[in-house]
Amino acid sequence: MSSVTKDPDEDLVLRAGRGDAAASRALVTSKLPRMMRLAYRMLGDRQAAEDVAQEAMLRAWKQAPLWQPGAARFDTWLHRVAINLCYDRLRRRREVLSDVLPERADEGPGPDQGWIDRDRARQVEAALQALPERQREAIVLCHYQDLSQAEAAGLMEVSVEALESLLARGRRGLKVALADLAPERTVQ
Amino acid sequence: MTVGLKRFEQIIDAYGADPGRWPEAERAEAEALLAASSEARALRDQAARLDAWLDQATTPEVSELTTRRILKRAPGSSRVLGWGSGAGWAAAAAAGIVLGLSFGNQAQVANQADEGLEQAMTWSVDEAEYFG
Repeated sequence: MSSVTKDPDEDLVLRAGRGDAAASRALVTSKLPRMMRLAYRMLGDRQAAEDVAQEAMLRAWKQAPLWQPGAARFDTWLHRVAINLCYDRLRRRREVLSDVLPERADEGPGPDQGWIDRDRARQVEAALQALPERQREAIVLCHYQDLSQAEAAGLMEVSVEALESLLARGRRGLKVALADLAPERTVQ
Repeated sequence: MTVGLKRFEQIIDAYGADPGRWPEAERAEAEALLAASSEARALRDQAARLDAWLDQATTPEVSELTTRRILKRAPGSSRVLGWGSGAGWAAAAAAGIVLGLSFGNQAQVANQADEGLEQAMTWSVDEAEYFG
């Protein structure tokens, strides 16, 4: 969204920063599930996602009393915090996997047949986790988090054209993965 | 019209079938093409199938405990000082001992100790790293 648009969370953040309990509750109600969704899509792990969502909110509490209106949207700032936390965890996960399984090329949980063929939701989650991280991030930000192209590209520090390319490759990968996993099924 | 079928396909491939996700600057032209072209509608329908798949992914809910833990740390809420430090851990242990002496109720002591431990763990997460 454009920078001239007023941040819809600004008032809540400023009030929360002044110790307004109702504003804090409202922020938690609107942002915590959103951060949980973001982290779960990125990490594919419930506990890790909850830890990330919690850490992101705790950082928001530190930031709220210092919040400067107009610098950045709070929602975008919070996404950046959560995404960075997710990448920290993905990096650690890679390091552990490379220690334990040095011969394995693909670091994610991957589409292992034992757990991807139970139901559609798990198939989609497995396919998402099997995507390269940057493609997954693009799809998570644009499809699941409903960020604008400019916001998502800004968060990922790429051009809108590069974001579009990541999205297209990601969606192509998902189409192939889901077709492979459930060739006879239709969506409706 | 700058959004031809080729560009429409690129938009659909990247952003899916929902016009709300299409680039704002091209949305009106893309929607006009969609209304006029059966090929465009076929591309849109294909993308809608993938969108529907993606929307079937579920998200686990955040636990009540985590929600309460976060609200406890909100600006202006009451806090116990120093839980993130070594002294905080000592205080948590001491609180457990005091409670044990005062109440002698094992279940209650366990609950209170859990609460103290929870606070101590929450504080230890971010003290060094987050502020500033």
